[in-house]
Amino acid sequence: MPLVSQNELGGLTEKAWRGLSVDCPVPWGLAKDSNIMVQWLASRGLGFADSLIECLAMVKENPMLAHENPLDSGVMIAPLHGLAMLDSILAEGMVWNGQIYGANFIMAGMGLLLDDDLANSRDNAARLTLSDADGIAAGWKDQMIRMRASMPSNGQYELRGGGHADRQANVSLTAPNSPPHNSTHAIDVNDAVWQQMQEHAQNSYVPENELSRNRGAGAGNIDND
Amino acid sequence: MRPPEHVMRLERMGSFHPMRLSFSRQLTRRMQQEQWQVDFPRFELDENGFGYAVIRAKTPHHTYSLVAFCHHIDDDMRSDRVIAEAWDATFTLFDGEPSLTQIKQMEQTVPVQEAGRQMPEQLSLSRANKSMRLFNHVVDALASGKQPDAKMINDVGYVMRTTAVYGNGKFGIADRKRIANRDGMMEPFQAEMLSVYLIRSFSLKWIEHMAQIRGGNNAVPLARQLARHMGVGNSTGLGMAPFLVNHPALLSNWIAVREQAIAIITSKTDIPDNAVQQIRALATRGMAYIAEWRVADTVQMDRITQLETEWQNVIAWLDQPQNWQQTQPLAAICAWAQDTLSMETQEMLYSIIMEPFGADIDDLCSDMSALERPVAANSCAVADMINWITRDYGWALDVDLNDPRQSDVFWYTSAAKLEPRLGKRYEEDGAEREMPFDIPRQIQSAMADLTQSDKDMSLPRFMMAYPQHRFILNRVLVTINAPYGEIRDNLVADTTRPIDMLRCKLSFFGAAKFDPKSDLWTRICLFQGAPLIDEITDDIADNWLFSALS
Repeated sequence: MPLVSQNELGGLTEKAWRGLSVDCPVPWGLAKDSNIMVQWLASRGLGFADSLIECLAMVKENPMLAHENPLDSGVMIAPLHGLAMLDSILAEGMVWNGQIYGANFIMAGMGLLLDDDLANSRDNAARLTLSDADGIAAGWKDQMIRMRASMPSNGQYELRGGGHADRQANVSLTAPNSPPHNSTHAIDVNDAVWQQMQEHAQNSYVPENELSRNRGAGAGNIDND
Repeated sequence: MRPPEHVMRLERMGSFHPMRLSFSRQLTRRMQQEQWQVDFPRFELDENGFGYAVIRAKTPHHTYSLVAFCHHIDDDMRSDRVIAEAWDATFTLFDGEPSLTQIKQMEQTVPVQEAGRQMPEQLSLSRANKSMRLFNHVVDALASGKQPDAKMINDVGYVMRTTAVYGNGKFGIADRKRIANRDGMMEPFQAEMLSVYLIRSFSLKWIEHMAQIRGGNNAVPLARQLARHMGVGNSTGLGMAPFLVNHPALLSNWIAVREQAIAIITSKTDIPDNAVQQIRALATRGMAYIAEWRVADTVQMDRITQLETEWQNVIAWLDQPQNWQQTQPLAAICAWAQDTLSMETQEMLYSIIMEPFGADIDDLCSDMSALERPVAANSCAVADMINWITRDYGWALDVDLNDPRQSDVFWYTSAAKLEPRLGKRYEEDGAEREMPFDIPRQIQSAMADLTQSDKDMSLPRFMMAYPQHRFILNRVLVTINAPYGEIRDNLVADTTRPIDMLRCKLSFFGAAKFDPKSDLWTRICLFQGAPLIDEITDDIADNWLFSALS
């Protein structure tokens, strides 16, 4: 299993999304959201690989999934749309019901937005929850992200914004491992997962030819100056 | 402070010089203040100069070790390009002191650089080639009991030239987070600067080792003045340019601190005599530095020639006692410079006048890092975004996108070792994979959709409907609090000179003797004139701005 840095994981994730399709590429902003969400999960020891690989495969099969608006379609690819979607939920205090793929990435989106709330001293009391048929699966509580011990990666969920602290009052949720900002550990990534991500990313690079090689920055290919 | 529309132009950014706020200066200043100790616990090089060495830096809080591996490479393998696959020496900065087992492990991975999986205890990864012009000359001279030719040392400036210094998690090394809150490493690029400083120390010991092998008892050490003038070269290509675009909050903090320092200094109404004398002495030293700064690039050489002429006027201004009797003398000279002198001269002047005022500005360096994180938009509406773009991105809205010259080039990552490159849009394939550096096009496209939308709509809802604009709108949100975060020129226009972006970043590194080889790449010298390892605790260890050999 390769031991990779968080920055390396995020960067490759972003490139993997971008490499899925040249004709209908994943928008840069969503690919960059995925970069930071995957780092958030990995730095806390939370799983990301299976759902990320599954979502990459889905979008490779149907690139338009990245462009469709989950607010209209009722389908969300959380590793791409999660952060943007939660920002919308917060902005409008709304409720959204639909199918989520890669629901663990919702946790990352919640964490990142909570950081922003705390940094800007906003009232963040119980403004976000993720629920399924078994009740609340995750949410903000006591200035932390709380989550149920397990939750399906894919399924029908409700996202709710706005004040509803009472809904959380009696729910037993635990905080995920919440490292300080300077979490330093490297990430173990399965060989096959890393290989698949690299294969996707490869398509985001421009193939070399003699012209581009010669136009590259730097002295000649041999330089004994 | 000078406004962003004045500072964040490529022409001006491409005129910046090293200064006391530069990262290399921050490092040597800290080394001096904290009395760091540097030594060579291992130096296992054979009679051919191949093997490994460990150079250790002990700070009051931590120990860092540069591990150097020296190799034989054939001349036809030596290249400064990212696409090279072999180097004369490879290096890593290790967090702590590596065990022999760890050194053996790194012996497998460091020499192959990008092709290896590095360890999370490694803080940087780099490589360097010998300057074939100077390395053998210096070794031969010392081996025969003579000092090398001073002019040659000045013309080249180094015996080793790095071709990349990677940090922040590349190829498995430690994320920046590992050291971001650590004493001595909080400010930007301190691990990378320490790596380069220790590479310089190693290169000096390497040539003396080789001279000793060749010359035996005849060999002499390199004269201290010459050794001090020996820095580390660096070949820098396009890789540095995307960094500035990809980190707007960080770029803004660097520039803002520099501008704040200039504002503090120019507002001073009473300049002490010792500061006046120091500025005048530095200006004289600057003249010697300019005289030694000779490059083949005609554009840059013309600028240096003009600088040389104008600098005499600067010295004349500084020599006039009545000029110092004005209410704000440093503001006066800067206003005069802005009205009458080239940007090259103006910016060098700023570096000089900062120098005596460390007590006023050095603490600003702690603001040069940036916590880069997404900015939530949930309290913003479409109307807000239209206002921000109108206020801050007028320069981008004014670009005529119907003119093909405004989209002449595209930035991309090559499949060849992921080398960043610049392509000609209308001549080369690959524009469909370009990096998102076409800021004016993105701004205008987003603005068109914003103005067609309900102004009361929440911005996040707009971004959900138009995911293609999320990148640029997030960027606008970031730059609201990072006013110097955006370069206010079209980076895909035919007039763009990436070299200007490189020079800006390199000036923050503290690079001297900027030597452009084209619009795409440059050579520079780091730590030229800096204290040697047995001088870093001396009082003069922080006094090496614009050092000159003469």
